[in-house]
This record gives sequence, C-alpha cells and structure tokens, in this order.
Amino acid sequence: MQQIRIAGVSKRFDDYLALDRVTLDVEGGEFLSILGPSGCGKSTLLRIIAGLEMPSDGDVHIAGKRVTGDPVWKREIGFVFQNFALWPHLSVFRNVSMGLELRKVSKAEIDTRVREALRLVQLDALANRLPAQLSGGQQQRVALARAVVLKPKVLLLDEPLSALDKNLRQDMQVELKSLQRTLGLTSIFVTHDQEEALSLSDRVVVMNKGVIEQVGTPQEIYSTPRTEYVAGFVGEACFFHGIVEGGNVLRLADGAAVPLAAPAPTGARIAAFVRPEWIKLETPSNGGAPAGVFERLIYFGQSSDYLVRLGDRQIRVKHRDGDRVFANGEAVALNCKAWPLAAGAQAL
Amino acid sequence: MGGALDDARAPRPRDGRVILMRPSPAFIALRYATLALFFLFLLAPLGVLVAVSFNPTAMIFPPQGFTLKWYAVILDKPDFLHAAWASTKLAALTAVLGTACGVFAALGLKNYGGPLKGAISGLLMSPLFIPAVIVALALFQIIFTLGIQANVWVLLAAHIVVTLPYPVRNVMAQLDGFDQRLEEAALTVGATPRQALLRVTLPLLRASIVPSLVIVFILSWNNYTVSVFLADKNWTTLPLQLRAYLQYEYEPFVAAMSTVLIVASTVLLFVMDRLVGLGPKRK
Ligand SMILES: Nc1ncnc2c1ncn2[C@@H]1O[C@H](COP(=O)(O)OP(=O)(O)OP(=O)(O)O)[C@@H](O)[C@H]1O
Ligand SMILES: [Mg+2]
Repeated sequence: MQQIRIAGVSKRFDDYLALDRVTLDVEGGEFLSILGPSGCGKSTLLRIIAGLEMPSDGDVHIAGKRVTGDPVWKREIGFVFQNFALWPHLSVFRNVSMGLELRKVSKAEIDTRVREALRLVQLDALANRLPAQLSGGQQQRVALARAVVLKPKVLLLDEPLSALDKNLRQDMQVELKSLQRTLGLTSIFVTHDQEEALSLSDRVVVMNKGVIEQVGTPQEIYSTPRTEYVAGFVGEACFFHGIVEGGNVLRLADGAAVPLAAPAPTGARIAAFVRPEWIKLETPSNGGAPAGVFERLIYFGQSSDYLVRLGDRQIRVKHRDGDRVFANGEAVALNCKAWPLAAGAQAL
Repeated sequence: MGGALDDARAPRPRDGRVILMRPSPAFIALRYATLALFFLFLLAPLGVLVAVSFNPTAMIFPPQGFTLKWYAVILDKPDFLHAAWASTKLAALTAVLGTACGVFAALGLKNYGGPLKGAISGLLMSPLFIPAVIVALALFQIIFTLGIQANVWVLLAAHIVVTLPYPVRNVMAQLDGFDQRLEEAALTVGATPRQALLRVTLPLLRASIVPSLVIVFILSWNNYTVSVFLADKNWTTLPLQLRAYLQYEYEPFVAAMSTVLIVASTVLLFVMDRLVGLGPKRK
C-alpha cells in the first residue's frame, strides 16, 4: 500500500519555482532517500509532506488520506531536523515525552514509552540531562527518539546526519537503518551525500532544480541512470557521445568504438557512460577500443586509481588486483562496456 | 565527481577554533581608566548621598556625626509609606502588563511581514526618542479634553507606554536569533501553535522577559515626569512624595529615603542577575 502519495506538487516562492510538479509514491515500510544538490528543493518537498509548508499546487496523501490542507499537528508524522532542534530548556526525557504529554497520555504510559524509545536509541542512562550536555551523536538520537516515540505514520528526516563527523555518521547510518527496520517505519530521508543515499535506501529519488530526475533502487540509479545528471551525481562517470552502429556499438567522433552494455537504436546519436570500476586497461590491439595514454597511479591506501588521458580528457579508472603495471606515458586501450543513457537515446 | 573524492581526503580541522588576539597593555589601561571614571561619576554622588543620610544635623557633606535616626523617621511618616506602597503596586502592574504587551508586540511583529512593519516598530520605540514630559503632557491634554479625571488607570497606561520600548526591544532582539525550528519541532510532535508558544517559545523567551520585568519595574518605580502630570491624590508615588517634601524641608531624612531606594533597586538587579544567569543554561 502507498503510505505517502505526492501528486503533482509545485511550490512557488514569490517568483521562484522551488518544486515543479513533483509526483512520487512511497510504499509502506519503505526507506526512500531524496538525493540532490543544495537548493534543489529537497527540504521544501519534505516540509510540504510534513505540513510545515503549503504546496502552491498539487496534493499530499498520507496513509490513504488527503492531508494537503491539514495542519502539521494533525498529520501524525515524525520529523528530524538537520540541527536536531532539541528544546534546550527541557531534559532529554521531556524532549521525548512532549508529544505524549500533548496527547494526554497517562503518566505511567508516558514513562514506559519514553523509556522504551530512549532504550531503542541507547540513551536511557541520560534521560535527565539537558541537550547542551550531550554530544552531537547523542543529540541526534534524542531527536530520533522524539520522532519515533509517537509511532508516527511516516518518518521524515532532513539531512539528519550531516552535522555529525564522518565516523559517527557511519555508525548512526547503521543505527538509523536498523531502527527503521525494527519499527517498520515508512521513511523519507533527505541527503546530499550519494553514498549515504545508496547504502541506506530501498529506493532513491534524484532531484535537480525542483524536478525529479529519476526514481529507482540504488542499483538502478547507479548502474542504469537515465540522464547524464543522475549518472554524474551518484558516482564518478566518464561520458561518451557518438552514433550507434549495429545496435550495440557506439562510434565516437575520433573513430574509436565503445561496446554498449544495452542495445540502442542504430544510427541514433546518443550519450553513454562508464564508471571507473567498469573499465579494464589493456595493451592496445587492433580492436578499435578507445585508446589513451597512461598518466599516473593515485594511491589511496585501501585502493588506487589510474589516471588515463583520453583525447583531451582525463579519466579515472579503478585499479584491480592483478592488473598489469603500466609505465607513465604508455599507450593503453580502455576495455569497457558503456551504458547508453535513455535520455540520449530518446533524443532521436 | 573528482572534487568530492579529493575533499574527502583533504585533512580538515575538527573545529575552526580561533585564537583571539591579546589586547595591548595600553588598551587594558584605557579600559580600566574608563571604568574608573564611570564609577567615579556614577557612584560618587550616590556615595555622598548615602553618607549624608547618616548625618545627625543637616544635609551637609562630609557628615558631622553618625546616626540612624533618619531611617527611623521614615517609619514615622505615613505619607511616605503610603507613597511607597502605591509606587510598588503601580510598578508591579506596569511591569507585568507592559512586559506582556511587549512580548505580544514582538511576537506579532516577527510574524508580520507587511509593509507597515517598520512604521509599527518605530512607533513602539518612539517613547525612547520623545521626551517623557511631552508624552505625559500629550496624555494629560487628551484626558483633559475628554473630561476624564486623572486616575490610576490613566497613570498605569502612561507608565506602560513610556516603558514599552524596553520589553519590545529585549524580546525582539532575542526573537531575532531564535531558531524557528524549535517551534516547528513542537508542531511536528502534535502541538498547536498556541501550545508551541506556551511550551517552547515563552519558556525560552524567559531570558529576555525576566530582565524586561525588572527594568520596567525600576523605570516605573522611579518615574517622576509622567506621574507628576497624571497621578491623582490617592496615587501619589514615592518620587512625587519626595519632591513635594523637598519643597518645604531639606533634611537628611530625604537622603535616608533615597538610600533605601538605591539599596532596593540594587537588590532587585542582583536578584534578576541570579535568576536569569541561572536561567536556560543550568537548572
Ligand atoms: N521560505 C522561502 N522563501 C523563498 N525561497 C525559499 C524559501 N525556502 C526555500 N527557498 C528556495 O527554494 C529552493 C529550494 O530550497 P530547499 O531548502 O528545499 O533546498 P534543499 O534542496 O533542501 O537544499 P540544501 O541541501 O541546501 O538544504 C532554494 O533555492 C531556496 O532558496
Ligand atoms: Mg535542505
């Protein structure tokens, strides 16, 4: 069942169109990420679902009910803010219990449910502290407990981890995901970190300038993006432009031929792309694969990359164990299959 | 995205701590000199007044003896005690009502983005720029024209008007840096806007409300200019009483009375500092 349904939602700030007819369904229990660059309208969309912002056009449904005109406090959502927005004058316990107090839940039940929520985020020992006496990660957990203690219909998270440093962020990702699984919470998670989006989500929405570019599983988004924008945003990509020959080969302007990973209409002028780890460097033969010049190796510790000059571009190739060692300046061939971008294929 | 890769590997300081420059000795000297002058001009006259209050004979400095009799005299003057009580009630009412008005005005102005915003906040602040005597005269003229007798409600209204800039400004300043998301967070856990105001915004505004209460109380308590135009016979406030007394008598009793007022104001300020200092940070 669709837990959240966003139908043709637009949002206009004065004369700026922050969201342009966004349509999206979220399944019950799904963990969906919204990924996009700064200013693309992620927060605006989330705030519209929460009711903190009213759409200029379109409708929002939660759990099968149209909530477009409903105020925030009637929507039964949980919201986690980027900087946590904990109430500084209230203890951890009171921060979490506020929503239950407002619902006139009995004291005994408040106590049980708050303790349970705090235990879930491993903060039961710190219930009496004030937010200022907590570390960033602990504050983050309080914000999560505050949102889930009410058993909301949907959990909305606006870059909840971006204020944390890298190690803590990775720990919190794991915790957040397991919490979401345990509670079976339908969640929308806003981030501009592509790794975070890919690793946590059931599905990823890539947004750009107020429109949805693509919705799909992390694998679909990463391996079969539909536009150059998506391909470039979720990972490193090298693009080839050319004309399709024989259904599955792309002929580049310099005469090189790149095999395609999926068929495309012969004669079409399309774009295709490869990821650094899809390319294998080889000694040049007569095959007609794109030829380049080996420039250097970049060593990162746990892995390394090759830099290869191809015409006037420099592209990255992932080094694999057992790869031949190349000398700087040596000619190489790039053995790879490129993925044709649907948008390019449709252009003709 | 080469950029992202490179960024992730660049060494980054965990926090951007800034080491402040140490001020030069000359600057420190200047600072202390200013402070000394400030105390000299502000406190020395008060010190003289206090000293005089212990003088057995006349309002003369340096005192020619030591006595506490003028303090005892205070209790023998029912007019003064009555005036002190009237002032206290008036100041307390002014503080509570004026601060409440100030809080609502500031909250309203924050949410109102219309074209009159500047004009309204300017008007609310105007008693700061217009001499109090003019405000008082204008109010006097109005009630005179309307044929209303001077009464305590007019007096109260006038006190609120002339002190209103302080709570408005205090609360607006705090609201300026107020994180809107704290209120939004309350809405997301099911609070109506009114509940959010009562449970989140107002408790947090305590840091500006408490000082406003105290400042308005003190301003009202000390006010002479407005009261002299608008107070009726039953509401002779302490400053009016002191002034009336001084017209006929000039003895150390007045100094003793003033000393009591100074001490009372100081105690009030001290209490406020403790209250607010302990406010939202620690509990
Ligand atoms: N209240 C507002 N008034 C006017 N413009 C706004 C308002 N809120 C957002 N915008 C604009 O709408 C656009 C989308 O903003 P939004 O906050 O949704 O971006 P975002 O994708 O969340 O970005 P970030 O990753 O930086 O948080 C931005 O260009 C922003 O300037
Ligand atoms: Mg945002």
